[in-house]
Amino acid sequence: MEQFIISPSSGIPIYKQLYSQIERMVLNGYFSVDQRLPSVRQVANDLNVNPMTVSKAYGLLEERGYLTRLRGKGMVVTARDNEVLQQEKFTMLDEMIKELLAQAKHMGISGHKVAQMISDNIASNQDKPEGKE
Amino acid sequence: MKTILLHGWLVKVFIVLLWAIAIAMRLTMTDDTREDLLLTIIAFSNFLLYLMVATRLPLLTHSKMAVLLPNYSQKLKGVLLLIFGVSLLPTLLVLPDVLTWLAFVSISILSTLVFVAMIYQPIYQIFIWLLILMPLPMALLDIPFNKEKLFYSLAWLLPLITWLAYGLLNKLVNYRGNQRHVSKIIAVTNVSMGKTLAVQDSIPFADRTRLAQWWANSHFNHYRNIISNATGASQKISNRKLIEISCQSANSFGVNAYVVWTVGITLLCLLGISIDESYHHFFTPMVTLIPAMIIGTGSITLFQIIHSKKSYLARLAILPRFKQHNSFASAFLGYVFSNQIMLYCFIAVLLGLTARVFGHISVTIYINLVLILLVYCFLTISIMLVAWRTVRDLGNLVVWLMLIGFIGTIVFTMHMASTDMPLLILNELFQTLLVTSLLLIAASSYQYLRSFSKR
Amino acid sequence: MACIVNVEGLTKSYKNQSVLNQLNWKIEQGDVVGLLGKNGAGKSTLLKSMLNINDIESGTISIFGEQYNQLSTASKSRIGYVPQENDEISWLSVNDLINFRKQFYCTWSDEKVTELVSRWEIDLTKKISELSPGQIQRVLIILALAPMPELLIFDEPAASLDPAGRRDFLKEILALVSDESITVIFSTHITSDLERIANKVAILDKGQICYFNDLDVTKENVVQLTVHYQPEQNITIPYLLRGKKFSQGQQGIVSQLDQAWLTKMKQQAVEVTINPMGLEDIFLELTA
Repeated sequence: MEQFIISPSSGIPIYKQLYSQIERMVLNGYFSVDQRLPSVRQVANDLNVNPMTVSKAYGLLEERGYLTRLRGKGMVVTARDNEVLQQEKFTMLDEMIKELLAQAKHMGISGHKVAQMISDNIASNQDKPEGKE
Repeated sequence: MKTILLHGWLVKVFIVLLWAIAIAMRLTMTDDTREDLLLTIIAFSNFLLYLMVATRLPLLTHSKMAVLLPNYSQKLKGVLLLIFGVSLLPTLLVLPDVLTWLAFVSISILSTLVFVAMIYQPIYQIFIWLLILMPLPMALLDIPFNKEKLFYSLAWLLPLITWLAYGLLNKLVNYRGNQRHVSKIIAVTNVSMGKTLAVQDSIPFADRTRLAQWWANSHFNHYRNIISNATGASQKISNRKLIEISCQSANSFGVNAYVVWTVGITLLCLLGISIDESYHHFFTPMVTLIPAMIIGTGSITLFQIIHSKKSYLARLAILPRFKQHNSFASAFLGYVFSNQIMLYCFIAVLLGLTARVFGHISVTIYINLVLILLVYCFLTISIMLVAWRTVRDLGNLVVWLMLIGFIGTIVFTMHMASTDMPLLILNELFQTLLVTSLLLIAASSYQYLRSFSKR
Repeated sequence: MACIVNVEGLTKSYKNQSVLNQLNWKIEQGDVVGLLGKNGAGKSTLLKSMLNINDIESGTISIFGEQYNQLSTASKSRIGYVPQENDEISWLSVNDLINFRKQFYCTWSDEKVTELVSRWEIDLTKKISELSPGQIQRVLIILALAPMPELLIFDEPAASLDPAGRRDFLKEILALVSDESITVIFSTHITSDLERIANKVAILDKGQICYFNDLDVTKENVVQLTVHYQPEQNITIPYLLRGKKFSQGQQGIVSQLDQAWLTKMKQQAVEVTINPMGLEDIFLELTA
């Protein structure tokens, strides 16, 4: 049974936390296509949160195409085009990169320096076994 | 709701017993010489019932849930009417004729109104005092007391009284006023018997009446002075005094109380001397009530206060001041004994004085009574000591035993007054009782001392 | 959704001090509302006034569409209330108290009572005066839940409960709120509980409901903003509650996130970093 982790006192609304978590889990293949997600009630019970919140997260995921609601089965991971998936992964990483660059700028470190640091990191990673593509 | 209003099996048993006695009397009565006694018994038992219900009413009317629970007021009204109806059933069997019965119903309704009013608005307590004191002006002003006429008028007034009562009942079940006073009543009735007087200590000072505040303050001032005067080493407070100070509460029977009672009794006796002897019997209820109230406030209250301070006293007992073997226990016993003996001596003196003036008890009875009180004193101190040193909470039991013992004493006194009883001290049974009580108190004290030395 | 509770112009003073002042509040069916407020703000007073346990000076309150002080028997049986302080008769045993309450209701779930009594390990034979504060709280909760009410009002329900007890209590409420026809109002100090189960948050301050909004919307709008800009660019942050300028810009807390302003800032290449805040901090900022 998957255990989602949420922090109720965080500034990020619980439904958003769930959304991000499940989005990530779909994108990195933790959930395989057509896999059924636990029911709203089950998740709410495990996390001790309002079922409406879980419902909201699931609804948003459905809207964005990550999940499909199947009669009798519940929420299921949508099978999607590899290209679309790839695009979404890029979008996610892109967000993270933007944040990284903004942070560097505040510290007075130039974008070029950041790029150099990234290259260095990639170089040192090549000496270690590679992770999945 | 019935269980709440009629809670307390001891009182219920007592009331039913009185009813049974009344019915038995009616069945065995051949003439109406003891008619008055019968009426008194049935009236007393019913009044007790109404008073009991009245004291429980605030728990129901002023409960927060009263407004939220569906049909609450109607249910309450129904239960009250039911209880009243049931209380009238024995009277049907006991009272001689319709007129008396109708008059009795009127009296019942009126007394219920007064009791309930008293509970919610203390100002109405004046009615009870008027009733107790009424014989006096009647005697002084030579007003004849015609029972027939009174009953007749009460019977005829019944419809009006019923209509008034029903209107007030409807208001009662929805009444939520006078919160401050009522919450004090609830605080007292919402605890078990072992704590009723002690709980009054937890009523915030500002919520008490001016009189209560002044009384408490002057009582405590006496002890505050002792403490503040004991600044030098030469003025060290004795062990016994320390314990005495620790056991004080706003309801303690202190110097104030002694002064007030002395003044009261003196005035009463002066009044008694100046009045014609034939009126003396009107004072009997009041004069018998006084020792009862003194024992209640001086003995039972003491028990409850100390009982509620058990843990506090236990903490005191381990302080360096008392490290000498058994110093705390012996000082404590010294305090309790001296306190109670003084109290009972005071009562004995009062009784003697009032007996001289009002002549309601003969010398023989007086001596018997003093001895009985002595036995009562010993026995109560014994059970108090037991309750104070055990871990189990025996507070309730002790208070009930003291009350029962006391009521028994009064009943026995009445019996003594009506029959011609010789000096009890000559009676072998009583001698055994006296010796037993002495042994008990000695044993109890010894056990108390021992339980302390174990620590 | 139907409007379950409608409060308008509620005014109440206590000993010549104004506690509630022209208070307005509207609660709809299915809402799970958390009521926050500083100590002494009047949360208990508000709840008690709504239920006609207190007298009020002025205002209209309707519950289930009926006047609050003339509720029908049917409406009364649909309300469950757990007070903050216990004024139940202390010499009744738990069992007697439950039976006593049961007499007033037509619908009463014995199964619910048995389930909760065994889950929370309450000794039915003990008198109320012999129970610990936590157990008394649990009994009060059982009494409120047993008649299967549609409107539940809790006044600091978890105050006497230990963390395990709070968890249990939350689970009970969560099981209830999955039925969307049930409305819950609860006042609490414990913001983390509220964050778990409430979908709306109300803040009582200075005698009024100064804030009442969806919880998620609140967290998304009451945020801390860090804005980086050059001093020449004269930037003002809208809906600012309080802020501080620093050399490269401004940092502040806003009560509302203006999307239009955000877009404008992006266009002007002004960097805006959004730091969301937990409910406790949000509460402190809104009532500062």
